[in-house]
Amino acid sequence: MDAELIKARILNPTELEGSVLFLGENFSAYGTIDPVTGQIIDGPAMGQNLRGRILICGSEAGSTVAPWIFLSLRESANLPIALIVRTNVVVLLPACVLLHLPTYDQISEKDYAFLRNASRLRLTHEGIRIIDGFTQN
Amino acid sequence: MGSIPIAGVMYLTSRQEAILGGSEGTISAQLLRILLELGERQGADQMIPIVSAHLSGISYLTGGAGALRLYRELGAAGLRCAVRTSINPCGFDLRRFKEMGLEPEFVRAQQELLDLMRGIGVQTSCSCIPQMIDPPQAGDHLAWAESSALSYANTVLGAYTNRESGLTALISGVLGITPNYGMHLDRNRVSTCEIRLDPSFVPHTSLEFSLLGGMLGERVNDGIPFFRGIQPTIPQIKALLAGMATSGQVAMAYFEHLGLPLTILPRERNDRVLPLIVIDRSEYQAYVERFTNEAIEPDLAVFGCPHLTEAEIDQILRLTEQCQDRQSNKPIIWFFCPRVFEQRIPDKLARLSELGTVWFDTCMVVSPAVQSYRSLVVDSYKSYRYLRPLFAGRITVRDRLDLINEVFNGR
Repeated sequence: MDAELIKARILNPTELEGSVLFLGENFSAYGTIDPVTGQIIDGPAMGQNLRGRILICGSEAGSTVAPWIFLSLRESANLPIALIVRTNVVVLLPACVLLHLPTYDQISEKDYAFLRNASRLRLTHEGIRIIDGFTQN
Repeated sequence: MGSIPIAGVMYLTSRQEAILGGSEGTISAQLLRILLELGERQGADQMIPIVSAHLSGISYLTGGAGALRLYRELGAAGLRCAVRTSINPCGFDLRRFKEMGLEPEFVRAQQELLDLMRGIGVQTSCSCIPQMIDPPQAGDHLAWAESSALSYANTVLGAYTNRESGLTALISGVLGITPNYGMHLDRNRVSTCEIRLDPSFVPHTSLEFSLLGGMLGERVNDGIPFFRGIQPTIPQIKALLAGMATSGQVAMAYFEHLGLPLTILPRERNDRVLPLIVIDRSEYQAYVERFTNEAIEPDLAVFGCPHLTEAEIDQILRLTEQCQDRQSNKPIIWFFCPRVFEQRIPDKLARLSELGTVWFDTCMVVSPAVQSYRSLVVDSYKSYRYLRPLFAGRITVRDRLDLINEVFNGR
């Protein structure tokens, strides 16, 4: 699996490597992220910080203020380095465009099952590669 | 293997092409580029005009420094809203904020944000029920970002709106257009699953419908549920839709008894029987134990998420018509309502204010005012979901009519 390229729809393609932060299946930025500190305040990643991480979630849910949360993360210098969503990025999209945030979505369920358990990924102009996987089950 | 191409190329009018080329400034070009990117990814064929926009992320708690920076840029560029643009609750009551015990820094930032909004022509309505304040007509195309309100507009009023983010709704308000995809197209407004309630589970209260919504939103996610065999009232539908829009992305639902203005109500899609979800009492009980298993004696009860409607205020007033003495050991009560009710229903508000403090322009979810209390009781899945990680003390849910009955009637 490590060498295989995972296909995705890509906005702002990039070449980078980073550690993964899994935010949950239905992710609402409001009530999950503290925009001033970058701390995760709810969900499976509670207590961790998203600064410099590759964020992964199943789909967007809940509050429509998500772009403001991400624009505020820029102001506090706590932005993640990329976003991966299994389904479609819609609510967060305007922030991803404005922030030039590498954004990968429309992942197959099979590939997503590997990604959400990965600890380290490499993002490329073509897709995603898992560097370290199966850190959690 | 490799990247997936974006869905398509949109038709733009000559004016829109000129804006993209910078004819109306670099910020307008950037804003239109965002709508274009969204539209192309979602398969839109063109931009369509909208009647109104409704914005979220108004409180400095939700919009924060990010919103402040963008609104400053819009104001400096001299941009103005092209259509009626209303807003969600902000961080405090605009006239009585000094009574709310807020940090001066928060008040200053919130006031600057609101001033910047007024400067670009936004109406500072500060309510999350725009559908009750200035209801759209059936067939109107909108760009609304309050998830509960947009779902109500699609479901009950027959308007057309996608589930916009606060930022795309703002852009649509300024440009007067939105990409033509998703809920703007009749072919997408079809039910994706059928919901039935087992006879063992008959919800009655708004809270039960709200929690049912939270439960279903996780399962339906971005689908369009068709509710069969139940006939909820309008306040119950409001609560159910808000719950589903909080835990999922539900932007529309069908109810047998509503008789939608636009009559697209297929129970089957492509001759395929819809997936059926049946909820029974035991499943519901297991779900709500997450919210109600803590025995808390709250010192503050906060009601109105989403904002109380006139019908909901009527329910409270009917219940307390024969009100006995207030039980002294019960929590104080805050009600959250739209400011416009001061003109529309002053007598009812006067009676409501005898039961508790009535706040306008804000709500418990987006105001830091609740943080000075140790324990809270809220009246909806939505307020519980957002406040639980943000509130420093303990929190639980109760149906507002049950609690009011207990506080004022002693039962």
